[in-house]
Amino acid sequence: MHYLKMSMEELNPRLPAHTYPANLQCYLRDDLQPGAKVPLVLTMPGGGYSCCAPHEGDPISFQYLAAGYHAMTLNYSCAPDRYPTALLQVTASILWAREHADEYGIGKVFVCGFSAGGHLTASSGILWKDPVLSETLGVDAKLLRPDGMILGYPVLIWGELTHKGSFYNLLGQNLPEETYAKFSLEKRVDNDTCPAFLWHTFADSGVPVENSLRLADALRAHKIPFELHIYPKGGHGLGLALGDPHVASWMKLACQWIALV
Amino acid sequence: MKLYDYNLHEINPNLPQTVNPAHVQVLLRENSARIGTGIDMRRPVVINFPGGGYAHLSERESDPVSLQFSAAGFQALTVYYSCTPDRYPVQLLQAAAVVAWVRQHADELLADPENIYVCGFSAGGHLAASTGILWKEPVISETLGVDAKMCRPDGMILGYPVITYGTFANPGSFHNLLGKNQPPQVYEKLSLQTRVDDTTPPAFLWHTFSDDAVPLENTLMLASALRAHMIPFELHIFPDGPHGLSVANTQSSLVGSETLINPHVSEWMKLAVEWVRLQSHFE
Repeated sequence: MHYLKMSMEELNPRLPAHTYPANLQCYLRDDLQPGAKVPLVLTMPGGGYSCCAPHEGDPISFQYLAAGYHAMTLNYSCAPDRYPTALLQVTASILWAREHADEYGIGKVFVCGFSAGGHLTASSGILWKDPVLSETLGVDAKLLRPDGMILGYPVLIWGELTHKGSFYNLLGQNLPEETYAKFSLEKRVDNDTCPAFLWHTFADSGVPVENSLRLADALRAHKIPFELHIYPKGGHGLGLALGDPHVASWMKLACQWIALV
Repeated sequence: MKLYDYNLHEINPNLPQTVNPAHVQVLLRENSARIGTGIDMRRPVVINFPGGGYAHLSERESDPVSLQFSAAGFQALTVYYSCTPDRYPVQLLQAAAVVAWVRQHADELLADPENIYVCGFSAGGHLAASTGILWKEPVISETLGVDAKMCRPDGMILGYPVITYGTFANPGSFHNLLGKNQPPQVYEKLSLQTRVDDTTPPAFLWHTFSDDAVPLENTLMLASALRAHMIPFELHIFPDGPHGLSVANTQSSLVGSETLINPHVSEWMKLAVEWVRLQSHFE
């Protein structure tokens, strides 16, 4: 196993300055046959864009490692750093994986995130063509599109059923309504959005299940294939759901899905 | 273990006469003083309705499904309901009669009368969902001569169900159920996502994105309606796989075809069994 821990400056010197400490931890397999490539999953923890919750970071990456994939955990910059700081960090991590694909045997690059980290992950899968990303990093936008996104109880929509705190931490408070509405991601899905794997609990009182249902409707309208698992019980922020064997099935399903995309 | 098969008129003589006779198969798990919670164990019940566009009944969605529920320790019934030319509400009456019969005979059937689930696939999913959503229809209690509450299932398991009429309909199922050339409102009345209310039981739904016979919208629209009424549900959508996968393994696949074997999709059965266990507190 190769273990690398990079600051954002080491990851990509074009990334903007940031206040909230960020790092990228890479767990790259060294057990592959010469020339073989396996998928990599880049995981973004949740935390309402105010912090990166540890139980949604490395413990998730280690499961992807155990499934035979490469894994990276990005502890990205939260408030007071604002959009697009964190999205650029995600995008630079994807770019790094692509640029080191031959060196480490990296195949498809997947992104995975939870709650607000799910918003960030979905942003990378939906907004990858945004010129601010390719211009800042100085590369072709196509290099920045993830091959698939895995979203656990994601924050996605603005409005009555939103998670307000995430939008305030991402964009700042007291902004015009349309500034927040612009990041209601179900409205930004288009035919270039990457395939998705979504899961949520019906009983989630932190981020209502409508967030996932509306994204599913939008993906369907654009014929973007997705997998969706909604479990009836269980609160917000379950991560691997080690205390709930039924909900914990999502990880096995996600690992199978990656192999099928 | 015992196996029984009853003509539906044996379980409710008030059921209307039909062209196609209907019957129910009961896979009865028996209790032992030495096993599980003992001789008085009361088991959840799953009543399965195979699909077939209301034109026929798919054997691939009959025993291969019911045997899985039986193996999980549940009482598993398969209803061979009447298809075309027998029209609505005959099938719904048959389904409701079985639910009421199980509840009335819970002691003999070693059944938990508060955990009676319906399960159906494709058009059988429409019938199972009708049983769950339309259980208060006066025609049911009046025809069968039982209290409507006896006919309400405690949950419904729906695999790639026919639900909606209109843009995303599987028209053949509606034509076989209701006859062709009816006014649109006749079909729309059984567009089940419009009929969900606060008394609809919880649901377990699954579908494949690439189903080209019954579009995924059928399940998505039902999920939205259930959520709007805060009826809890579990939902599993898998990206790949054709219509009619059933249990999606060699127990249900067609001779000479591998397209109906899908290990990823076949996870749904394990999840459905867990869902029934969690709903019914049956360990």
